[in-house]
Amino acid sequence: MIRKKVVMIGDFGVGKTSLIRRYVDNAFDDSYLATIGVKISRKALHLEDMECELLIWDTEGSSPIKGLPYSYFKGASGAIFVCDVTRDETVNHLNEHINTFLMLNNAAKHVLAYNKADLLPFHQQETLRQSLPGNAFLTSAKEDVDVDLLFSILAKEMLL
Amino acid sequence: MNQDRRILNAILSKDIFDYVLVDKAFRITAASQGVERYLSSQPKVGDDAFVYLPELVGNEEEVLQVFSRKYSLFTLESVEKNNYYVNLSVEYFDEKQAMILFHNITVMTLARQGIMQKSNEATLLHTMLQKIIDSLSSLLFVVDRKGEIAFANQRYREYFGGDKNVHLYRYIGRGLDDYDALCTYLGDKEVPVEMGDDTFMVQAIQIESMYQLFTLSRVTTIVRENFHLSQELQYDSLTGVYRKKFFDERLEQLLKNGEPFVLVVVDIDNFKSINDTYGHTLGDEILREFTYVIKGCLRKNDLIARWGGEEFVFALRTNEIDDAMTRMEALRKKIARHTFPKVNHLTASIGISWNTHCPCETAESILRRADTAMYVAKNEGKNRVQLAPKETCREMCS
Repeated sequence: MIRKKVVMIGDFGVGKTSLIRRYVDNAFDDSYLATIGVKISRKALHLEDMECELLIWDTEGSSPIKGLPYSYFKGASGAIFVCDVTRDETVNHLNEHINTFLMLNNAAKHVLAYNKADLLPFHQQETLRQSLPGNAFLTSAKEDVDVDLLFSILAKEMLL
Repeated sequence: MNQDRRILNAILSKDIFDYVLVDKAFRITAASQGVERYLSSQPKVGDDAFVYLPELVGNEEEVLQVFSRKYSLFTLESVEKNNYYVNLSVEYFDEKQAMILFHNITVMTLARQGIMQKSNEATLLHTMLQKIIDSLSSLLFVVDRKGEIAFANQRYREYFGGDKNVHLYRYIGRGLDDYDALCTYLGDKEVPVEMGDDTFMVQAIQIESMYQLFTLSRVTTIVRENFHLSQELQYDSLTGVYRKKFFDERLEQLLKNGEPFVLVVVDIDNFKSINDTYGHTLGDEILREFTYVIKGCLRKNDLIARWGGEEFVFALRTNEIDDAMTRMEALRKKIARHTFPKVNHLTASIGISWNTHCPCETAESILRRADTAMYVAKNEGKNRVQLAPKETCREMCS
């Protein structure tokens, strides 16, 4: 069994926990409960006859009074950087988060989740989707938009 | 049982610590009884440690270093395991085993989580309020008790740049020398203030005793539009003199204030034939030229309006009828001498009336008498100045 550590990274309240809940349990809860520390969820995958398990680290989000929890990043094979498309500051912080993570794990793969797409009008979703780089996905944990795709693309990047 | 194990058991009995021992192949060699609550089931000797402790995946190298270095330590803080929060630390146990210690910090962590939850919610609310305040079209700033600007929204920062010493109170022009004075002066009113090319409406709100909130709503466009609108309402677009409606208002005001004036009605003779012969474009040109000529004979404080068509009305600011008569006679001659385009010469008939100070006198009655006098001038051969007939008060009021 191949096990890979994947870290969810982003500002607080962007939907990291919700993306994991949607991906692992296919569930969603609208209420916000701040994540503290780290919680690891598992997801078994079959990739080209390969049995593997993603160990998804749901880390607490950074905030103006608390930075990124670097201690959880070590040894990660992949990372998902998450922002909230309705909060510009969370989008603006993505590059900073990516640089910090890659300094600790320069061989790790990563993808970007522009989450809470359901809160944007349809035409804005389309415009934003077209402007995103190749490793970025417009996601909605609430409406289950491209969540599986996000994780499976990262898994393939890490394993194949 | 050695001394270390006794100490360890004493600690474990407090229900705060539990442990798992693993070998270098990450197989479990022993575990405390209480560890089951974190791992869902009690691990057995020989089990794969990664199944119970996925936290070790990716950190294998750090863990293996513990076996060879007695004082090295690998730790992970605040890990949620089965609804408990634990600090995990991997420590040297002996040459073949490492001890993974579970330190139960659930109570403390849940308290921290509550604080973090409130803090994050407050940050979200603060950010949202900041965005709302920044999106307001008004310039907004808050002054503290020291008279210093403690907060300014984005519009304010954009308008004044980095300048925090704008001293708004100086623009009011009332000799105000601080924000307290400005706040008192404004009260609950909105007051206009001009700053550079812009006009703002300024309002102050006292926030408890600590802060004063000032809002500046830019009304430059409205002020300009109002100006243009009032210009359009007041002035005849063809000749540039007052419209009759505005003239009437001013006349009523003169009458009400008891200010002296003599009223004059002027009508261009045979103007209809000019329009019929040369067209309205030339007619308009002549009206503009005619206005130019008559304005040259009026004084600065006299009022002039176009009544309509080719008829004009003046209020000469004098109570001397003879003086008015002389000036209008001079105007008549000037009109007759002036060379107008295409038609060359024109004449005008002029009627004059005045305020009789009779109780039933109105602006309308004075105007009517001047108009009648002008028609008398027309009927008596045109190109004349005609005084309105004298009427007794009884005749007028009957």
